[in-house]
Amino acid sequence: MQALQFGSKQRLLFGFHHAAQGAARQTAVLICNTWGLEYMRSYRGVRVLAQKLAAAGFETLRFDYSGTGDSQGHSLDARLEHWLEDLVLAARELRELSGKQDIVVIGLRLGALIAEAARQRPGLNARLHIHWDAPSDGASYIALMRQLSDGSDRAKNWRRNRHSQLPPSDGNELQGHAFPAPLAAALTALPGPAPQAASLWLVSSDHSAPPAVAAESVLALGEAAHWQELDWVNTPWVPAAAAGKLASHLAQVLR
Amino acid sequence: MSAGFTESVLQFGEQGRLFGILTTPTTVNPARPVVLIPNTGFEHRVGPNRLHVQTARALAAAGFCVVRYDVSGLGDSDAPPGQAASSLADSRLLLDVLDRRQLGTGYMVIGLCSGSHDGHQLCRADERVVGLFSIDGYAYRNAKYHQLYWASRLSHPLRSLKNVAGRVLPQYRLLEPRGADAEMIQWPTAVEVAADYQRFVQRRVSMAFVFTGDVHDTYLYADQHYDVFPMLRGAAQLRFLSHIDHTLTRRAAREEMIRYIREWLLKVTP
Repeated sequence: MQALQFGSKQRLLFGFHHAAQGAARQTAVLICNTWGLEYMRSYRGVRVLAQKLAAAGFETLRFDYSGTGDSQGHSLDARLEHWLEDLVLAARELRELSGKQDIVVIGLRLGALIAEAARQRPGLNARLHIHWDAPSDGASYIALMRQLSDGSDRAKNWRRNRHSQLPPSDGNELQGHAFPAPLAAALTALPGPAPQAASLWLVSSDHSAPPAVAAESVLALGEAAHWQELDWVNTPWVPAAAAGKLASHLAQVLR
Repeated sequence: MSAGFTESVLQFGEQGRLFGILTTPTTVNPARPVVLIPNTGFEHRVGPNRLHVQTARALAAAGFCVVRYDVSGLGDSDAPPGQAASSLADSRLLLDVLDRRQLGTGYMVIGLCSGSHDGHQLCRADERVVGLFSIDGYAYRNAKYHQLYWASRLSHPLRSLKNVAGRVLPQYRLLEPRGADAEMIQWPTAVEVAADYQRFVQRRVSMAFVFTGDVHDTYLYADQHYDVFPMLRGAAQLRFLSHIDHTLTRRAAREEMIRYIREWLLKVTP
């Protein structure tokens, strides 16, 4: 595992390259994070996924979008357009690091929608997009985040003293994460991934793929992810068995 | 890189199994302590709502070297093979690494929740630590707490029911188990903590304590920590920020906290 920074001086991105163990396969894997509390919740799980993929022979890169995580940039300056550019930059970085031109993109939750939005961008050109528990579209995802955020505030205020109720959010944040209006508008407008051939849908046991997706394009995971449950928003998501299952599947179907 | 600081990776421990980010100001003042920010709960070094990133960058812009790091089993740090995870051992290893770099004089720890526990334990074990900034760390009820608690409950019986309901809502568990691979936290007794504070005062450790409105199960009034630990009066700053929640979900709360940390550090350091 090698930490790295890449991109421009104005927008330096932070990521990790997980070198393939043993003989490297011809395909490299780029992992696209989800956002906000889901990003925090899934951080260790994404690392485990990268380790499993590397152990199966895939050069793998994971990274933080600009204005999030360890990457540079103020959270209030985060924009979807920047994230789409970040994704293409990350793909280029992965190709340079690995020497592999074939790449597969794994998008977790919102990351699946972001990767899908970048699918046609010059420089990405992934042979396969893998959508892990992809929301049906940006609007439904943001609606869920708002619902969980409101629920969390209500639960906290329920327990807090009358004179120490939480002040209202300033409108530029969601679940404690900066959520500037341009980012909110762009994410809300994101379409869901279309059911097409060059996609694989990973679904946790409490999630489902759109009905139009062919059964052979769905990989069912045995574990529940609890993305929609308030009780779970502060619980780490580390799907080690599911990550192993995906790595084994990819090892069978990719060079 | 943004103006005022640079960031670099720190990998340390056996086979580089531990991970942190060093944020360095444009000009390093070796007379100043290096600031450490360990994990909060299970969250990786970024901190809740990116608090640790914003804090590190703000403090670096003010001239401090800052390390935010993952202890064993969290974020990008691995547990030691064949051994139990120990955040204390991890932190002491980090001090050894930073000593060799000669980035400053002494160390100060900023910790929220489990991070406060880590800071306290490090300070207890290692005299290289010269300062502690604790947010929602150890807190103990006293007679006045119970008096206020019951007065409030008896005058507002509905709230008593709400409080019982609140206890079963899982949004918020202080010092909860951190992660599958990380160590479990054991909260020391008030007597043990008092003995530690006595030693910290004798060592002239700079201390500041903040309690938020989410810890009302153990903390209810501004001077409670002073009343439970009288040796801290005159030796430590104390603030009860009842309008702020434990994970600082409001941007204004994070900005207020970072401003306070920065002002405190500038006051107690060269």
